[in-house]
Amino acid sequence: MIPFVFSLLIPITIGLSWVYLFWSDHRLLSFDFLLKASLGVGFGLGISSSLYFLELFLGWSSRSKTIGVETVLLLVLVGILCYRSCMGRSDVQVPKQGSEPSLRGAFRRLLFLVLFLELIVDGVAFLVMILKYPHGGWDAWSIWNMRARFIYRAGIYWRDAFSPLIGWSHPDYPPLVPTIIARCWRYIAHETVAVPMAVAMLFTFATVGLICSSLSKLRSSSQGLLAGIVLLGTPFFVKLGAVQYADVPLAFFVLATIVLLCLQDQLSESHQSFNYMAGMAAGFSVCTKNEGLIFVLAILIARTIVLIFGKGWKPFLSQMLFFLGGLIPLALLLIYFKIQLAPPNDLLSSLKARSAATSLLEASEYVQTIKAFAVRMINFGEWVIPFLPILVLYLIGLGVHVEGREKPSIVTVVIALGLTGAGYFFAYIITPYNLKWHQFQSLNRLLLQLWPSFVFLFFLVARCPEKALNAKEGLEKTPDPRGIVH
Amino acid sequence: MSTKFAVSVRVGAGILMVSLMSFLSTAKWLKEIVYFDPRAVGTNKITRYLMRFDSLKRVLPDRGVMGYISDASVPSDSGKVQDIRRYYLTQYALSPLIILDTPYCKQVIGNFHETEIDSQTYRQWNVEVLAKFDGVVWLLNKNVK
Repeated sequence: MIPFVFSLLIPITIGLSWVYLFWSDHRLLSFDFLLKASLGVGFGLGISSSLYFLELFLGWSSRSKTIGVETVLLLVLVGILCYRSCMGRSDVQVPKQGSEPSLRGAFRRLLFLVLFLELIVDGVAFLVMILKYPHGGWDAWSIWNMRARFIYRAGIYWRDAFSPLIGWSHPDYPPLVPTIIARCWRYIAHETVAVPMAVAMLFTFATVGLICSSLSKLRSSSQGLLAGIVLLGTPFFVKLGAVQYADVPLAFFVLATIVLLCLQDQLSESHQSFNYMAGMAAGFSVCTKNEGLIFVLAILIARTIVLIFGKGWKPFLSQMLFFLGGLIPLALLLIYFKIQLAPPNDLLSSLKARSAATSLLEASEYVQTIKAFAVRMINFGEWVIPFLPILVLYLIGLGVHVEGREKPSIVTVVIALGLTGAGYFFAYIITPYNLKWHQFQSLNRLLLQLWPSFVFLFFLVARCPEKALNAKEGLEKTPDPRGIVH
Repeated sequence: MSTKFAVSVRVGAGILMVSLMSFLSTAKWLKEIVYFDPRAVGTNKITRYLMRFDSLKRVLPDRGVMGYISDASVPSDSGKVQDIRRYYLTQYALSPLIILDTPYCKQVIGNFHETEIDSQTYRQWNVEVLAKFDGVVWLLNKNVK
């Protein structure tokens, strides 16, 4: 049990130290701790997975080397943090948004109560699901956990995991999730289903922690609580997490990239640390699933448009430099994987240029795909009733509130999510498979990958309850120097 | 006064609506929780299915490529899916060996529904039985003639 706990505690501590390295704060348990801890979970698992993949590549197949490398990294990080603390280096302070007093009385208690109850119910349900399906759902055991078994069991022949002979298991899929599982098994020196279960649980609940804490920081605590309530109240999100699908880790990294870019926009140009971390999170998304590549292209386009047209070339170049600094090392790892190990992607290799061109001109394909998107979006989430109309009603009731300096963040998120969605859309249009079958198999999961980011965007633009209530008391009559758009 | 009241009602209604709908959706899980039988832990379908390969694993090499044959399920779409599932689970159980869904390998794994298999079922592939494990999992050798 102790080695198992340590196998996960060490990467999480590395991740947390990494986040503190770029978001320095002399107080360990500050107001932002939940935000840093949530990011730390994903970063830690991502860093450990990438390190282990490098070790495999270098032929370091012994357990002691795996433990040694991570221990040294952890000590170095802790050492730097202690040194900085002693030198009294200034903290990176992200200004807390929203000067309104917190939501009072019954509303606040209600939000806390609902979130608390949802956490309890979802937590127990998650446990029940992982105990019922310890090997995970179909994709979990036939792709991710099977690949982890190959990597762990095959020793020096770990490359067999990506053999084209088992093309049905999609050996071209990026290795972040299987590698972190295999790395934990190596750490504890035996195979146990508890590892993929714990990894799934960490990513699922870190996503909830990230959305709550980031919106509390960028908007207000009630907005953060509401976003957490909506995400936890999405049974499909919890279910897909519990059956160990990699769509949830991908959703985490997509959300982390977006959150970090939004935090970056709150800082002055002299601080670029969030850009670097956002680049890393985007890199981890590419290493998690192939869809991460579409997201990274989308975020690069979105950021380019927003920075060039909104701030000019100089800020664009400096911000991109840091973003790419975080992204490129992980992208190189993936490029090595794709060139050296992965067989061609089944979708791309069976795609014929002529048939793709024909599909692009086929109106019926568009109609069918638009219909599928519309139906799946309305019925998405496995809610008791479709939730999107409720969110629309909520937005009508409370209104939209965007502050001038938040426009770049919001436009970035809108363009990035829009382009990623468009990428998914066109992947269906040109699919060499039966369109109906392909959509049935994957569309819900693709929507889920973007769902936490969509919820984040929704509560970023929706007016906070505090602001709405304060507006009635005439507080908004004070002129706002930041140029609020209503 | 009426505007203040209207705003409070709007905000309250918005918060209540989102919270209530989310919580009701979460409450769907209660059924799953209430009907969960803790005695079923460790005995789920996949865990039990994987156990059939335990004895076979002990005699297999650490690495290599092997074939796979099976008796088909009832011909239907769901039967087809079940056959694919059994093959995938065989690969999952026996990793890092690579299991190909073909009898044309030097050594072949037989994964059957029944303990008694009509000899015609496997002789058509020109294989001989090396060993049987719990009746349903066989290790076969390709006949070289």
